[in-house]
Amino acid sequence: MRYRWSFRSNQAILQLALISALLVSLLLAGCSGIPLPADSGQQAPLATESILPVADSKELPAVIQNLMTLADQQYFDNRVDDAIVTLERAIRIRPRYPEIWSRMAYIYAQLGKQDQAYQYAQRSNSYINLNPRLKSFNDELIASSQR
Amino acid sequence: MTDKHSPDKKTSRRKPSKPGKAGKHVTKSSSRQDSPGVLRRLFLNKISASVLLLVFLLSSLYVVYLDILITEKMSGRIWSFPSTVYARPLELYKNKAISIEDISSELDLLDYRKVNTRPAKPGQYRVYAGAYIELISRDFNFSDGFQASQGLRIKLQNNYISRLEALNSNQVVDVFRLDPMVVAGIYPKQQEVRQLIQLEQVPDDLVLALLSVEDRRFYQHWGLDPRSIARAFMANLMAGKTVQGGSTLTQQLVKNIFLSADRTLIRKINEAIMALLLEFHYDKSTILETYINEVYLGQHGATQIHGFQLASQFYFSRDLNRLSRDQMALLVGMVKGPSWYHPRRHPERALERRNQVLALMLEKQVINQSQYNLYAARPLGLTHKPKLSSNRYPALVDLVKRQLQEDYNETDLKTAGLNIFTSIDPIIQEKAEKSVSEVLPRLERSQTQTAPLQASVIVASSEQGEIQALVSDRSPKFAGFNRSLDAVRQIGSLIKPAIYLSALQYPERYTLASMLKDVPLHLKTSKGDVWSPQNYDGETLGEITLFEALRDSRNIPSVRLGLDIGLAEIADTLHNLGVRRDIPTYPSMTLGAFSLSPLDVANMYQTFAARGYHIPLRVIREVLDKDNQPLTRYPLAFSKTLDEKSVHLVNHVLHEVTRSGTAASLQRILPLRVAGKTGTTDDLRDSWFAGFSDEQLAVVWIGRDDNSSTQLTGASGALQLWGDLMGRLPINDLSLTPPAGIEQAWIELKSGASTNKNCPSAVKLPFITGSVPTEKAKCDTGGLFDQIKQFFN
Repeated sequence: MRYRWSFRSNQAILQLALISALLVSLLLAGCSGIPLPADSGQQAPLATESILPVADSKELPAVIQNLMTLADQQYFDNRVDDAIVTLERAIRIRPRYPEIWSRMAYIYAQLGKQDQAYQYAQRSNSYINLNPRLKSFNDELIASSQR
Repeated sequence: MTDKHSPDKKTSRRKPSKPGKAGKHVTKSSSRQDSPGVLRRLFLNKISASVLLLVFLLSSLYVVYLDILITEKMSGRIWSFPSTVYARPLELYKNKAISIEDISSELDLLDYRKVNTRPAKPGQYRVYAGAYIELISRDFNFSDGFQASQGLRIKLQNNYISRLEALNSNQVVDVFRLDPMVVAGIYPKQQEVRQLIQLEQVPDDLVLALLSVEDRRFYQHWGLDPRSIARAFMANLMAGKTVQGGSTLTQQLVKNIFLSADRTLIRKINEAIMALLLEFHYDKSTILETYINEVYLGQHGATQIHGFQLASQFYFSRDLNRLSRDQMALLVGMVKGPSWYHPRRHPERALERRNQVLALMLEKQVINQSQYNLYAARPLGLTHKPKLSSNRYPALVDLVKRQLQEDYNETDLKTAGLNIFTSIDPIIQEKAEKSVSEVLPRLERSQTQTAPLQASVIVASSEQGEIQALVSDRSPKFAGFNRSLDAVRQIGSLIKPAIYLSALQYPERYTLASMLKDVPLHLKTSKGDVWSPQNYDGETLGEITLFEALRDSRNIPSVRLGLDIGLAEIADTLHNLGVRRDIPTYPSMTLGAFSLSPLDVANMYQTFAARGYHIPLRVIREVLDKDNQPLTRYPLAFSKTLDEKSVHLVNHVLHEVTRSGTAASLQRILPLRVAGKTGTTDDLRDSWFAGFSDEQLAVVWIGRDDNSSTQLTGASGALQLWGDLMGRLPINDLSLTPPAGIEQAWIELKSGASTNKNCPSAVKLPFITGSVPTEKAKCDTGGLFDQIKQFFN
């Protein structure tokens, strides 16, 4: 299970994904801002948009918040591969935060990798304790990956 | 070539021909008179010319041959780069579980220099006040971007990072990656270790010292230096023996790469021709760079130390560009005779030679007098233990190579300069090696066998299936038979969780409270024999719950359950768990009478550790080309192959195994919540333990290469090693959070019926929603002990 580091064939999908994600982000601007952790210093990237149309939990550790914000930034800078690398770093550090897995699911869905999107969304659901909005976001991804 | 005594020659001298008719006449007349002589002369001339032509042709062919030899070998040398295998970068962040010793150990492995004052340069660190580490990281090009060197202060409390901040500004840093350790190089030749360095990275002082000593006119000559040759010739003549060489660096390079060390005339001629050819083909920088990477600088066992960069690592444990001038002088001085001036074997001789080089550096004004005085007074400054990072973890690197060979050919691996980033965790690897080295001798103390025990240990991250450590030999640095991958042994009771998982996927038929028969069983085999499986203790208990049967690893109930579920179904479950080998479907397979490698077992138990998500174990994260451009990524890929709820039920029992089952002795060495299963095979040939925490999965096998008895069970052997290793890792209690669709109920073990917590022998067990037994137990409160227990409950 591996893929070549090339998303050229998916550029059109990617552009569409970016446009739709931007629109979704604009619509949900009120709740999409990621609060910077209290102890974050100069290292925290200043992302203004989030991959997820659902606000992240406020209880996320600074390290996870930092990496997810960085991944958001990389994704919107069209550095999708780097965003995946960053999210994998976050998973290694704290694997049980569903927001990370949902971001991965979303990115893979946008890349047309429906099977991976399905698996990541399922895995995210397995870590959700109480976050009905994130669960319904995952469920939508699962449903669309099976269409 | 003409014969001076021939009459023809005399005649021609007596009658010198003049231009004009007379001459013509004389020539004609002479020709007529001496026609046999002329013919003979012509004939001889022709032979001479032919011989000359032949010699010329042969010489030309030989030069062409040498030329081809040079260009082929040199292009191979210059353009082939070994691949580099990197460990995972250590991530630093607040609340990371890590001790001050582990960070120091990582920095030592990374060859950071420990200093006593505040670090001032990249690659330095200090530990102070028992709770702080200050360091300045090195620049590193990660696949997702360049990370510049940064000063950091790490505060540790109770083996956790309590604060991570920038060294200068004291501002909090959320997360930081250290540069990853180089684990190994994959080289064109096995015994020739080399760490290539580009000329621009070589310190100028080293180049100046080298040229001062070995070839002062390197930039003036074209491969040969007649002045040096003449000077050496005179010196040798005066001394009556060979005291000085006149070889240029180019000649030395030719000798190192293409020729033997013989001092014959033919070799010298070859060397001279090839040196000229080399200079004709390549510029001075290329020749110098190749020389610096090629020069032989000592031996370490069977390994030859080639090149200044590796020699720097070998003798001083640091990169070439971090050497002081006296250290450079020592290496330069060794070129003359690496064995004669070997600084570890002949320190006095090496010191004298180093100071000779320093004197030459002074003469050439590379250093001034006060610097000379300073450097010449210094000791050699060698590290005590030679460190060769050529292949620090041979079994792990073997796994890396095998996984790479699925996508890259052998030649590319050895010559394309790939940068291979892996999940290898040096801290865990070092601990695994230490556990093997310490526990095996302990286990052998009470043994009568003389054949040594062998072991395999595999550690992977529970949730991501990344292999972090792998040991395949009791001497972990020994690059021999890779038992973790190739020792295929019977797995014994490690099979049992797969049988119970197969059953628990049918909650309407089986729950943890289901009663199983533990009474003698006799099965007729296809050969007509009768197979009667026995419990390990030789007893039968009548009826026990499924929970107890797995917890206590009872053989007879497990065989009965396996036969009831179906052997093919168990094989399917094993495949869903990640086992890729063919599984036999005969009854004794229910007791693990088939063989798997430790890596197969790790793949199988990974799926339990990841709660039903099968993640094929991997060690490579990504491969970059020599210019750091990404080539292949191996992303985290997984699939949900088993029902999460059934897996949770099995995991619950696997935790009980370590608390009150066959691995209960673990509590003495590892007082933490973990889950796992012991495995023992016939005649105690194999001792297994596979288990996991939230953070790590580890599989341990102990056995002997001749397949004789280990005299150890899974609990008395592999479990001890497993517990020792996990006790060294910063793990937490296993969380065992139930997934949705699980409910808890109190069960009376003797009947498997529902009861309440106040009842004796009541245990709380998880059930898939809707499968809690409806039968109620009659609470037995007859005994005084039970009444007291009930009162306190």
